[in-house]
Amino acid sequence: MRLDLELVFVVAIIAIYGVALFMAKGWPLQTALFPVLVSGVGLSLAITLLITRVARDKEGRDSELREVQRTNKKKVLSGFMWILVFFGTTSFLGFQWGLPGVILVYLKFDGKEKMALSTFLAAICWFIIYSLKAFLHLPLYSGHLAKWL
Amino acid sequence: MVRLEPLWQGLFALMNAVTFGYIALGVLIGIIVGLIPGVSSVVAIAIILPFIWGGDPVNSSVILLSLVGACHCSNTFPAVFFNVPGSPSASATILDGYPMARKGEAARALSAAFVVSAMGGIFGAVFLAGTIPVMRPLVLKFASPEVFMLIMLGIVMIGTVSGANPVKGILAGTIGLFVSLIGMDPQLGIPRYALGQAYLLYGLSLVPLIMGLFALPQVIDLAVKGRIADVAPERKAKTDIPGLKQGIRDAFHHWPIVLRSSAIGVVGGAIPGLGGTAAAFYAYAYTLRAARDKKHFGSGDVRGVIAPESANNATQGGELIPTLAFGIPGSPVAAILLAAFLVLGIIPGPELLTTRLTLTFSLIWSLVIANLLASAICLALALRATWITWVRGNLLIPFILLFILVGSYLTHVTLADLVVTLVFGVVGYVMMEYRWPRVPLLIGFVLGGRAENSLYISINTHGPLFFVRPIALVMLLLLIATVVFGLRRRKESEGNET
Repeated sequence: MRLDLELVFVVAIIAIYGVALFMAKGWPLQTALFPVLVSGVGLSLAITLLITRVARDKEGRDSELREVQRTNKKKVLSGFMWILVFFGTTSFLGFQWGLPGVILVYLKFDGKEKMALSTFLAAICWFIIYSLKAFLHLPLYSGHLAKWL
Repeated sequence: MVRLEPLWQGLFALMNAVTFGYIALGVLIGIIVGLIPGVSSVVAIAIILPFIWGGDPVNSSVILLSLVGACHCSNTFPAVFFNVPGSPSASATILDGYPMARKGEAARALSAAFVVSAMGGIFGAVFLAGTIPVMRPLVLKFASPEVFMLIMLGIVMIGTVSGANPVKGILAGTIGLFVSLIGMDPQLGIPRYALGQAYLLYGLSLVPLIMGLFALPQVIDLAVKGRIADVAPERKAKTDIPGLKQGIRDAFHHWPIVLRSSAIGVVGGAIPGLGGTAAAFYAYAYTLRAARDKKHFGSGDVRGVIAPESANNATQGGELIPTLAFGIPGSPVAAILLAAFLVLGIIPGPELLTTRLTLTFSLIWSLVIANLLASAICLALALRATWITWVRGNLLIPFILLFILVGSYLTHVTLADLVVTLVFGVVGYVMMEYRWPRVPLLIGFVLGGRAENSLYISINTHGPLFFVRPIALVMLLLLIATVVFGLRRRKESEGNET
């Protein structure tokens, strides 16, 4: 049986629904009724899917897998890395400074854009965030660093 | 005998520069709000409510209604360009709108969407005007058992039709229902699946979930592919006038879909708890089922844009039926509108249908005018806005992430929302990569709380056999038929492959 992300996903669903049903055992009927109903149906469907998948693999059929777009793994990983960097920098330095900063770095190093364009777009981002804070009074996070200082 | 004077008096009450200015202001704010994913019209109304407090009821309420109407229109831009619905009601539009943009048909998708948005909005308003006196018995027919069965039918129907494998679709729907269970049990207040986290006690919010499920995978996709449009950039397409004209022609050519979807939108809006998002999905699913040629749905069929856009704009009228007639809001937007109406001294109920009928018709007319105005502005913007599909992904990704981060964070003003977005980003990516439909998950989450309450009330009021009530039983049979036909269709398509 081929091990891929989809298989891990289905097994994780089965595990989560199993734990969910187990946890619901200790609850009163009113609290447990809908979770048991949903988890029960979900668990049955996930097991059905897993069995179908195993059977398909045994028969050597992979019509569904053939449909899957084979994407560039390196680019996908790099994309996720940058998303983490965006999220991490925002929580550390805050929206006002962290986001424009990471945008500048992203555009310059990953996007290979010119410094002038990168700085201009980072400045636009800074202005958008400034406007949201100044005019709409949106409470955007100022970052862990500002808190510590 | 029906009196027509209030209908015209309601229109004349709006025909002055000040009120028209308020409508234009509402439309402008609505268009901006609709463009920003994560900032819904609910948030916008909450922000501007203090500014209109104590103002003239007509002028203040038309701003709010114009805002809502325009927001339903402009939320199509991010849905088509970025696969990110500007607000939840545009979620169904991404199914075919975004693939159209990738095929280089963004102008066509947008123009069709804006024309049918205007049509749907007008249909909803006309329906609202015509049915206020007779709507009450119909709305009251939908008690908890019917609502529960309708929600289950909706999830199963959407799960069955929105992917190649109905088992994956329905399973995705159960995941959405399961995620909606996180937090305190609404009956007894017992924490469920909260893992000891205070943040999870209040349940997950729609915005971080939708941002993670749809927007983050889109960022990855954009990083991999380089630009939104798959086709090579062509100079002529930057001002795609033929595409724009084709979209307008499509809107008129598919008028039966517009009418049917608008009717679904009105009814969906009128049933409390369903709202525009669910109505748009129902309209999409119905159009898909009714279509003879289904193979282009999901990969950029203009009918897949027309159906949800007509429905979600028609829901505005539908949502106002229970809100104005009975004071029962049909959706979160209607709920905040109701609160605003009360603040402005507009008390929903018989008074609005008798002595203050002119005011009611003014509200309805403002909805019509706002829809026309917003559609015209968006249509004018559409021609120039399509260039965005050919902009390099590197330049778009930072700004999409900016909106994702701001939109998610503002839900509860906590960093935990960003974590939820990340988690659902991974789930969304796996689902996208392996062709699992994400929409049933979303709709399950949206309707989960309502489904549980309806189930609880149904069992308490009608016993465990609540589903044998006539309408509920018909829905149960429809649900079973949907599953059986879905599985049969799957088997047949497998047979054809081998």
